[in-house]
This record gives sequence, structure tokens and C-alpha cells, in this order.
Amino acid sequence: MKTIKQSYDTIKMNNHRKQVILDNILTQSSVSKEYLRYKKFVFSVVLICIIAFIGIQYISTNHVNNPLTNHKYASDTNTTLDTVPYNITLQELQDLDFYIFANGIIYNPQIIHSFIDDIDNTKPSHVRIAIVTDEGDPILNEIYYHPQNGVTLYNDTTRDQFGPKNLTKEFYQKIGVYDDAIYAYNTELTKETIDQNKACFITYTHQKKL
Amino acid sequence: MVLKAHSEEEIIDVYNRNADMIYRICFSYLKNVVDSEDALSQTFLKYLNYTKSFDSLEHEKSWFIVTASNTCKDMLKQAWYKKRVDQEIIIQTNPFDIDETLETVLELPVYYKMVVYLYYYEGYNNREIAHILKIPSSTVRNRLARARKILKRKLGENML
Repeated sequence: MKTIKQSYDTIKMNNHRKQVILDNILTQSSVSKEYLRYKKFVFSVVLICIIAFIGIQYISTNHVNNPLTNHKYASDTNTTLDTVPYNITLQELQDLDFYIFANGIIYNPQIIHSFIDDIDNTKPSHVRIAIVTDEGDPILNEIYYHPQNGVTLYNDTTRDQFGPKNLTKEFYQKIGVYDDAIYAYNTELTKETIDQNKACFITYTHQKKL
Repeated sequence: MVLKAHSEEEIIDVYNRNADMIYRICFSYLKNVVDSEDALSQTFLKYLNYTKSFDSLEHEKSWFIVTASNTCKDMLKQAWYKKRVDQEIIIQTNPFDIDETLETVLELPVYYKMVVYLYYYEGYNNREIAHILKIPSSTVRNRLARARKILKRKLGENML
């Protein structure tokens, strides 16, 4: 009687069949190479898409979270407020084409109306606004609007003796009108976002609507 | 991960090194030449799609042992295989001499066959078999002991 090892030794493939199977495998191999090339291509495309998607997500998140550090917006929207003289009269502000709101009186209303028209027509625009306090000190604002780049706001309180006395800059993605007032905002303009201070009040429209 | 296609020379080398072993494993599961050749082809097709490189020849051998075994188990599970009517005819057309020992080994339950083959034919020890099949060493010992018991009962002491 054969041992287990000897019995297994009797299981042998016919040489001719062995060669036929090898030939079949080699034929399949060329198909497999094509498949592998296709797999590599798909893998590369998917990888590029993932990287692009992550990159876009990162950039867009960065814009919303850190608007002030975005130099793209800072570079092309420098303020002109620092060229305005420190001691300036109401008449001089009018002459410098400021839209002025002083103790309930409006000066140069056509400026804000033209700005609203530009927003309505999604046309890049720029406006300077002066709000005169009860004490007679002007608080100056400058707004740059660009349909693709968003809204850059400058607020100059250096002439307001009771204010923080600084020049600040903020960036928002959109601008819109809600209840006769213009707001700059990032996501949406609703009563809730206004109440939660997520939208920045700019000025009243004074009957001019979008 | 580096995706690498196998060259023709590499495939021929690997085939010449492992074809007989894979065929033997497949035959011990499927018990006929036609299906064993089919399983051998399928195992090599899996190799063509396996793009990682082997650490050593021993690693390559282990991979083929496990892949061939899995391929055969898959074939045995398939519905068409269980229902086929020509199985008896195919078994009768085996070209080599199937003696009493081989017949008894082939009749062993599926989960004993592999450990018997690796222990008695390939000469691996319990620990090596456990490593190849990724099962505990104690399971290998139990399976071997039970397989030996069956073989001794049917064939006597001499066949081991």
C-alpha cells in the first residue's frame, strides 16, 4: 500500500494540458495588463478629483472664516478714507461725493440710489457714506462691491470723539436689502441672521429698493 | 501602493514553480481533472490581478496554497457545481491510478484535506500550517489528529 506522500505524487498534470493552460493564462495576462492600465487611470482621476475637492473646500472655508486675511480682496480694494482731512465740514463731505446721513437729513441721495442700482445689475460698484453723530462728528464708511469677489467694508471712527477711534476692514460675500436697510452678509439675509449679528448693517435705503 | 503588471517571463516562472502543487491541491478538493484544471486557471487569473509583490518564494507558495484552496471551496459552493449531472462521468475519466490510500484521502472532509496535504506531502509542521492557513495551531493539531484517526481506521497504520 502507498503512503499518503506516494499517493499524492501520482496526481500529475499531463504536459500537453499544462502547456495549454499556460498559453491561456498568458493570453489572459495581456487583457489583465490593459485592465491594470485602465485601473491606474481611474485611480489617478479619482485621486485628482479628491485633491481638487479638498482644495476647493479648504479655500472656500478659509474665505468665510478668515475674510480679513484674504489678500486677494485687500489688494484691489484699498480705502480712500485715509485721504479725507481729519477736520472736515458737512459741505466738504458733500463735495467729496459722500452719501451723508446727518440728524435725519440726507445729502447726496443719488449716490446710494446709484449704488443700489449697480448691485441690482450685478455691476462692480463703490460708495462712501458719512453718518454724522448727534455731536456732529462724522463716522465714515467706504464699501466696495464686486459680484464675484464680494463686499469689502471700511469703517473709520477716528473723527468720532466717543467712538473707538480706529479704521477697520471687514469682508462679506454678499450684499442685500432687508426692510429698507442695506446689509452685508455671508450666507443668507433673514431676520434671524440680522438679530444674531451675522449680517452687517450699512445704511438705510431711503425708499430705494433692489 | 505600487500597481505592477506581471511580465510574461515572470508568469512562466511562477507557473512552472507552482502549477503542479496547485493542481494537486485542486484535485484533492474537486476530485476530477477537468475541474482541477479550471481551478488552476482561475487561481492564476487571481494571480494576474494580484499586483503586490511577494517577499519570498515561501510567501509566494503560501499565497498560492491559500488562493487555490479558496478557489476550490468557492467552486464547491456554487449551485451549478452541486447540480451538475455529469460529475460521475468526469470522475471516471481520471487518467492516473487512484489507489485505496488516495481514495481515502480524497474522501476526507474538506477542512481536514488541506492540513493533511500540507503536513504529509509538503512537510510543514503544525505552526507553519497554522501560519499559512491563518488558523490557531491547536486547530491544526485537532484536525490532523481527527484526520489521522479516520485514515488509520480505514487504512491501518502503514500508510502514514
